Amino acid sequence: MTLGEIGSKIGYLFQNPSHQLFATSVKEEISFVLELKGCTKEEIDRKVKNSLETFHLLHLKESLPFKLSRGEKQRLAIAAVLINEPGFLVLDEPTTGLDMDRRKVLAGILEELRQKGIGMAVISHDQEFVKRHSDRIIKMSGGEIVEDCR
Amino acid sequence: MLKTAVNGMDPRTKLVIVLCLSTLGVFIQDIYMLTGVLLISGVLSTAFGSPLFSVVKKMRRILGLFVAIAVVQSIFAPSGESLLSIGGFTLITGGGFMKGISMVLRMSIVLVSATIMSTSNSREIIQGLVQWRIPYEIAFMVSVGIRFLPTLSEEMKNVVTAIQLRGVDLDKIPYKQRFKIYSCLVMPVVSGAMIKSRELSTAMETRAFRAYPKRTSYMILSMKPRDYATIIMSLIAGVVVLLCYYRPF
Repeated sequence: MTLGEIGSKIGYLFQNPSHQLFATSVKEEISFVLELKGCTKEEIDRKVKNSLETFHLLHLKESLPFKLSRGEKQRLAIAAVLINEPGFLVLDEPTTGLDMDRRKVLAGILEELRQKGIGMAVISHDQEFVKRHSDRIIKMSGGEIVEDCR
Repeated sequence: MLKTAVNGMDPRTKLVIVLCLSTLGVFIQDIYMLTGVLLISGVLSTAFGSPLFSVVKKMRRILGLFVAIAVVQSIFAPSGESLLSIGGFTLITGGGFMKGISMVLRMSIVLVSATIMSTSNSREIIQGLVQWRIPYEIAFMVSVGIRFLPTLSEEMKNVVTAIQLRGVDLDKIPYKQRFKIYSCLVMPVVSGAMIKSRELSTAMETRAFRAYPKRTSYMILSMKPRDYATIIMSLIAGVVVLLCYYRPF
């Protein structure tokens, strides 16, 4: 399986969102995959607008991704991963840089995805977030599993 | 024996050797002489303990570029008999091919001789330059450049991985779109470099860089007699080879 094939099935959020942003505008960052998939212009516009609204990025749609704040980059990276409609998600520290309100928004989106049957593995130090939204917690220390509770 | 002789040499000595070898590589046109210079560069690089084989392995990736340069040289600087022609159009000539080969040899000499410098750490190189009375700011810029090269290549790899993890199979998409994707690589690398350089300059200023006109160094390099001997021998050898090449006796 190539990395591209894995990427079409699994959405991966990097720990540092700056490492996965490469487009010249926020809008293009989200529409990138849709254009390559051959979606129609109307479909792309609709999906991108929805995504920008959900992640409170509509006012930044023409901005350069590298000039965004850490929290904005994080939201953009999550939006870009979710636009691909992956079957499984791996999120590395998804709450870093998000304020309380945006954490709630993210939690709502993840809950929605969970109800749709999309599985996810969240790697996080945010214990409160993990306790509230997970159904299995695996604690690791020094590269080894020290606790596994469902 | 050569390994023992060059062990622990001053970075300035290595710099002079690299300068001599790459100067010969640039000025000499003769293929046999260039091959000789490349062999000497390889032997010296191995003696200094540089990671020559891993560099050669990495160079395999740009082998296609070397071949392309050889072909382009051959097309635009044709001379001698025709070696390959398609439909009456001469693509590769004997003279052009030799020029292409000499270009490849020249690039290899510069790359292989530069690996000698990788056997000194960047702190030693910067100190060597400072003790050669090169302004600290310029020497520091050189060391920053050396330090950031691997970071830039890592950033490029990150972007390629990020693009693939969005479900894009780079081998399966049409060339037109692939070109667009590769153009995406430049943007994060350039902007990342600019952001990093701005942060670095702020960090340096907060730590009083250039606040005082004179700097002292904890590390002081000292040239040994064998360093002086090597520098003199390298310079003499370089000049003699160039004289023999341009004014044969």
